[in-house]
Parts: sequence; C-alpha cells; structure tokens
Amino acid sequence: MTRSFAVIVELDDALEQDAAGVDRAPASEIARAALAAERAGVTAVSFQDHPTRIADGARYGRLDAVLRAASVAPLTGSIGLLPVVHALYNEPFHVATQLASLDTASLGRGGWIAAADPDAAIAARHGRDPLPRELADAELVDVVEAVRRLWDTWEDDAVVRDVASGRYLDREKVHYADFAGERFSVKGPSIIPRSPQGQPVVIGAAGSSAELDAALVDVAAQGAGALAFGPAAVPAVASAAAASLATARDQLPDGVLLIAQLGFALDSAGLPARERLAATAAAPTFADSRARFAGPAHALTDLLAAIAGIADGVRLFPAHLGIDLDELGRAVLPELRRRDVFRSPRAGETLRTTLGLARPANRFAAARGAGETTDDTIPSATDRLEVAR
Amino acid sequence: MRAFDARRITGSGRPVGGADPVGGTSPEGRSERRKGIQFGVFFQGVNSSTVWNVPESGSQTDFESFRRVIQTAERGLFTAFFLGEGLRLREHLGRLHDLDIAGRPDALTQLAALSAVTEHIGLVATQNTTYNDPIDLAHRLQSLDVLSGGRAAWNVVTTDNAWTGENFRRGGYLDHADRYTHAAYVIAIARRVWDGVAGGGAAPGPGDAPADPSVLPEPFSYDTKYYSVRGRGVLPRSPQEHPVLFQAGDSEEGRDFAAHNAEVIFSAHGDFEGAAEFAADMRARTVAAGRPADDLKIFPGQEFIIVDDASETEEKVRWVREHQISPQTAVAFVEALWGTELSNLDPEGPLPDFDPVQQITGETRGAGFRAAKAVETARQWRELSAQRGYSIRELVIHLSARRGFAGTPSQIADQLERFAEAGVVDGFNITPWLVPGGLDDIVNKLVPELQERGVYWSEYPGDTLRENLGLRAPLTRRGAGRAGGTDEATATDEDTAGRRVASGAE
Repeated sequence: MTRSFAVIVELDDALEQDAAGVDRAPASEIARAALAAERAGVTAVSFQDHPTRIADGARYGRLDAVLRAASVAPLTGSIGLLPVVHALYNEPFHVATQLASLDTASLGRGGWIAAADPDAAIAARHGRDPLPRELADAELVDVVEAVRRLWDTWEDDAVVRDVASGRYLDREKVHYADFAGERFSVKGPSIIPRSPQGQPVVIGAAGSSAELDAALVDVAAQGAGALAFGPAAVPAVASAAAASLATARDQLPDGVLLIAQLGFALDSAGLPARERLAATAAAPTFADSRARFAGPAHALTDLLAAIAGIADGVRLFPAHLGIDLDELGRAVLPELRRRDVFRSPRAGETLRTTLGLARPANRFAAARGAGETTDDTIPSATDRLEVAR
Repeated sequence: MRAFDARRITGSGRPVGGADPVGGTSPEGRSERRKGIQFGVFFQGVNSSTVWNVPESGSQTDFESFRRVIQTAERGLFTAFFLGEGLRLREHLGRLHDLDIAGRPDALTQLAALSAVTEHIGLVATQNTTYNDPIDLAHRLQSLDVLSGGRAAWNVVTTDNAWTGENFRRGGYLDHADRYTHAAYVIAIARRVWDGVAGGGAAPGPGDAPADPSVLPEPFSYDTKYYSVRGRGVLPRSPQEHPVLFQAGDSEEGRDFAAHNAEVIFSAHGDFEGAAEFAADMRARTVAAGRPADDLKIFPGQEFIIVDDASETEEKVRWVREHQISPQTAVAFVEALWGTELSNLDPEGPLPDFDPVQQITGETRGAGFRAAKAVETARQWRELSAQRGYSIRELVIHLSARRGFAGTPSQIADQLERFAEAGVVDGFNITPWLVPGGLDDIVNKLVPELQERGVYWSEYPGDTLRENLGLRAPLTRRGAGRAGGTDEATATDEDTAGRRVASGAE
C-alpha cells in the first residue's frame, strides 16, 4: 500500500442555544458539519468527548461521541469516523461492541481515539475506584488488548448459513476472547460479527504501550505551555514538530502511524484570523490545543507539507468549524493535493485502506491454522465438523 | 408538521406539537384513544423465529437490512422500532449455539445511525440494568434522545446470571432476588441524570424565568446496594424530556415493576382473552402504584402472516413454521431439556425413551427453560405427543408457536378491530419472520385496510415518541404530589420533586 498523509478534522460538538434560547437541532448540526468535511475531502473527522467535563463557555456537555459518529455514518461515504472514547473505567465489552457497530454501519470507516484519563470523577461516574496515574497506561494496554481480542472472536467467514446442516454459524470459527488482566477479565465471544475492517483503527497518545495503529503527537509538545504562532514562525514550528515526532517515533513500534495535532484559524473573507480570534470565542478543542496556528492558507499549507515529510497525518482543531473547515477545503487541501502530499479518500474505501494500514489478520484464525483453509474450502470444512443426523 | 385529524382516531381535538411536548390530552381523549391500534417492530437479530434459510432472507447484520426494515416501518407509520440485546452469545450444551441467527449491533449505536435516515419513528434500545453503569447508560440514552429530536426509548431488562457477568468488570455480582430492586436503582439514577440539566433544571416553558446557562447541575451521589456512583447530568433535555421507558417482564415482580416505572409494557398476551386479562391486571397494578390507569401502554409481541387468499393461510403458516424449526433445531430443543447430546435422534420420530439426565435445566437457552423441572416437562411433552401424534419436530413447532395473526389483510383487520374496540391493547409489537422484507405485506396491505376502517392513523400525530404514544410527562416531571410510581429507589430522589408542574399533567 502506498503511504498517504491523513488530514483529520475535529468536529467537536457545539450544543448551544440560539439567540431565542432554543437548542439548535444537534443532529442536523452534526450532519451538516460531517457533510462539509466530506465535501472538503478530508480523510476523517474526530469527535471529542469527555464524560464529566463541560468545556469552558459551553452550556452543555457533549453528546456521546460514538453515537454522534454513528449518526453521520449513513449520510457519508468516504470519511473516517473517529470518536474519542475514554477507556479506563467503562466496560471493555461494551466499547468493543459499540466500535464494531460503528465500523459495520459505516461500511468500514470506524476508528477509536482511545483516551486514558485516570480522572477520579470519571471513576466515580462509573462507580469504580480511581486508578493511580502510574497504572493508567497499563490499564489501557489491557483494555485495548481485550477489545482487539473481542473484535477477532468471530472469524470473517463465521456466518455460514448452511441450509443442509441447519447451521447459521460455524462455531469452530467463533472463539472465546478469554482475556484476563490485572483488574478485569472478559470471556467473550463478541455479540457482533467481525466488522468490515476486521478491527477498527485504534489511535492513542504517543508514549502509550498499548497496541495502537496510530499515535497522536502534539506539534511542539516539548517544553511547557501552549504555543500560538503565525506565518513567520512556520519554519521554526516545523522543526520543533520534527523533533517531537522523532522522539515519539522512537517510543513506538514500527508501523504505527504518527498523527500531529494542531489548532488552526485561517484568514477568511478579508478578516485576518487573529482578529477573528480576538473577537469571537473559539472552539474548546482549539483553545486546548498545545500548538495553534493563525494566518493565511498558504502558510498553513507550507506547514502541513513540512509535517507530511515527518508524520503520517495531522489532526486539526478548527477555531471556528464553519469558517475554518471551509477555508481548509477551499485553499489548503487543493494545494496539498497539487503538491502530491495528500489525496482525499475514495467512496467505498475503508479507513484502513485510506490510511495505508493493512487489514489485521485474525489472531484466532491464525491460531486455528487457517492457513490451510481458503474461502472455497468452507464446504469441506463444515462437512468435517457436522454431526450427521 | 402536516395537519393530522386527531378526532378520527382519538375522538378529541388533542393538540399536537407546539410548545407543550406532552400535550394537553383530555381524559376523554385518552379513553377514546384506544380505538386506534399502533404498531411497533422488533428487529430481533438473535432468535430462532426469523427464517434465514430461504433465498429471500437477507443479511441479519448489514446496516442495509436495518435501514430497509425501519424505513418500511416508517412508511407504514409505525410508532416504534425496537432492538434487542443479549450480552453473551447463546450456548447449547456448553458450546456456542450454532443453529440460530446470532450476532447483532449495539442497540444505541445502531439506533443513532438509523436516526439519521428516519424522521418520526421511535427508537427503542434494549439495555441491561445489571451490566451497564447507570450514569453512563443514562448519558447514552439521553444522547440518542437529543440526537433524534425526542424519539428514544429504553427497554429496561435485568439479568442476574454470572454467566453473562463473565463479560463484565463486576462479574456476576447480583443476587437473583435483587434484580428488580437493582433495576429500580438504575432507573432512579437515570432520572437524576435526565432531570439535572444546565440552567437550574427548568425546561423553558410559559411563565418560567429564563434559564441561567451559568448554573450547572450539582453532582449527586447515589448508593446502590452493590456500588456507589457520583456524577451529574450534562446534556439538555430532549423535546420529550426523558426517553420513554419500556419493559417486558411478565412475572408478578416484573408486572409490579412495570406498573411503578414503565410507560409501555411489551406483553406476551396476544390472544384476546389473555390480553383482556392482562390489561385488567396491569391497569389495576398501575392505579395501585398511584398512577392513572392509562399511564402504561400495552403492546403484545405478535407475528403476522399475511396471505392474499384465505385458502392459502394454512399452507403459509406451515411453511413459516417449518423454516423456523429446522430438523436440527428441533433436536437441539429436545437436547436442551434432556441436558445431553442426542445426535442420533430422528426429528421425525418420537422423544427419547429415557428421562432427561438433568433435573433442572440451565439458563443459557432462555428464560422459558429456566428452572423448569426437566423430568416433569419431559413427561408433559410425551403426553402431548402421544395425544396429538406429534413427531419431535411437530412437537417443537407446536411448543415454539408464537402467538400471532394469520390470514388475509381483511381477516386480520377484523381481529385487530376487536382489540381496538375493547381497548385491551394499545398496539402490537410485530416480530417479522423474514428480514428485510418481512414488513412489506403489513405496510402495503394491512395498514391501508386498517386506515380504511378508521383504527389506524394516517399521519404521525406528534413529533416525539412520547406524543405519538399519547403519554404524559415523565414521572419525575409532573411536580410534587403527582410523582406517582415512586418506590424505595425513586423516593430517595429528593431533588426531583417540586420542580415544576409540567403542563399536561393532572
């Protein structure tokens, strides 16, 4: 597969009231944003979430991110859908089922930004004891492993619908997960067949020892404090980003994609981004970004092209979704495409294909010695298993 | 929203839509309302009653199958689309059960996707009170409710078996006797989440002071017998205020639980006499729980087999049954009672001549077998087979026969009209025996017949599921003195009383 550069845009969730004090219909807002992202040609959209916190200036918390992502699955055809799901205290079994369902409903465009915030408030919400910070990564490792095992419990061809033998499924191809970790165990199998991608794409923070497909790295994460910068600083930021990414690369196994995170605000309709930021509150995910660019489209294009030389993609946090997503699609992505740095996803492709990630082999099929079984030998395999009646 | 001639169905000029989401239905309107019949559809996903072994049977898992069924149901003005949930794959004699349809999506995730391709139909998610964390579950249900503009519902189910618990962090922590008590805790917690919204908790209404967005709901703590949670609601209220609560228990305890907590009950009593008895019992229990008798709507689960000519009925019913109960399924059914593999058993022959090797049947086959005395049940089966001359397969077809209606659209409409006139049900929850085409005849042929007779609406009367069901405001949204249905669990819910009397409450 060819290497490709991913552009992921955070849609977040702005559940707000309009001037008349009426809640805007959130489903149509979310759908509008996702369709705009698809039209702009981005690789994927992400859905920020936090189960207990209400962002500064926000009236409400966020609707569940998996449900937001699922709600746009049937309306879109090419973009990846990446909900943030906090994973330390909820049930790995439910997380696995929910994400596999998203992947199935989106025909293979599902992923998971695995958050591992040991926040005691999240633990209390789930009725669990808080986890010491030093155990958070170990727990995430277990959760990701349990979830991945559950995703593999059904082999791809487990549903046989064999009328002659009366069997809907071939139980030799459905397996118990039998995960046992330090703090929980999961028996399995999953309650949903293996999803189109085999395993949805798992994205986590760099430095985690969980099994990730991609890791998020903050641009200019070295040193304290957030960095707000304009066009003049692009070369310096690009070189700082290279250093951060190199450090992250050293921590990760081969084959894990690196995704650089960056807030951005673009000059638009004659209004410089800096003036807009001074006048209008930006999205919380932009405000929370460690590095934030504000300036003209060509400078962001140069920065992204530089990052493309050292990372596999970016996750961008627009300051104002409507304006910045529009400008990104109008003035940045076409130039990146022209420079051969980026290509938009094609309808019908899975997210793994778009990202250049292989479809994972099924660990249980491999253990069963599936090498000797190909698709067209299924009838004989089932004959072997069937008890004559 | 298009105009709807409510008088035709409800006999009253019930206001619909507008600022008052629960409507100011008059008492007359409510009693007259039962002259209409509503339909729900249960996309089962995991079951032995959906025929999968014929060419017209499509995928049970692909999103397109779900889309087709729900959009057909919405074309037929169905009130609700309902997804089941089972948190462990079924087993048979200690191995995965391989003869039935298995594997289905997470209900809430799938309904969120389906909410984007529908506008009116209610979205009912079966969710377990034992193996979900209450605040998280309430948040997800509310997310669907807000996303869908007030169309979400929660079918409350309980589980206590440790076998299912093996998939979850708490394991099999719950005593069987406590399952409904615990479910009441979970509902009470969910209501705390749904009632605690930003702006001080008051939904904007006539005469209310404007909500203050800076006032965030206070976190609350709640101790169940088994664990404690602390959290708060962080989402806005949907147009129907709370997701609608469905329940399906049929035991004494289950019925009382429904009378106290539920707004719709799925019943197993679909024959007329059974339905009448059930309705009388449930209405008495509902009143005893301090609620108006019609506060709980009754929807029996039913199968519909529609033919064009009455002479075809018998043959089609037999065809459906024989495809539901394959020879292998018939043998597995007997094996489950006998507790042992019977691989040489002839499905066209008699029952085994030896007694079951187990005294008490296991719980993995489903509630129908739970705690049955195996030897006694086997004796009854033998007696029935001898009386009727049944082979094993015929016996199993007989035992698994689901209540339902079979006949021409006109014949079925005659029967439904009787139910409607007597008011013993509010609607039927249809389990299609074929996916995805199983609703086509119902929507294309039966619905128009019922509309002709004036017992089925010709447009959705409201915008939310709560409105379409003709329900009042949620129990905790009716103000002090009207919070019927409180129980030990909800009674501790101190900050939900006295908020504001929702218009439409008595």
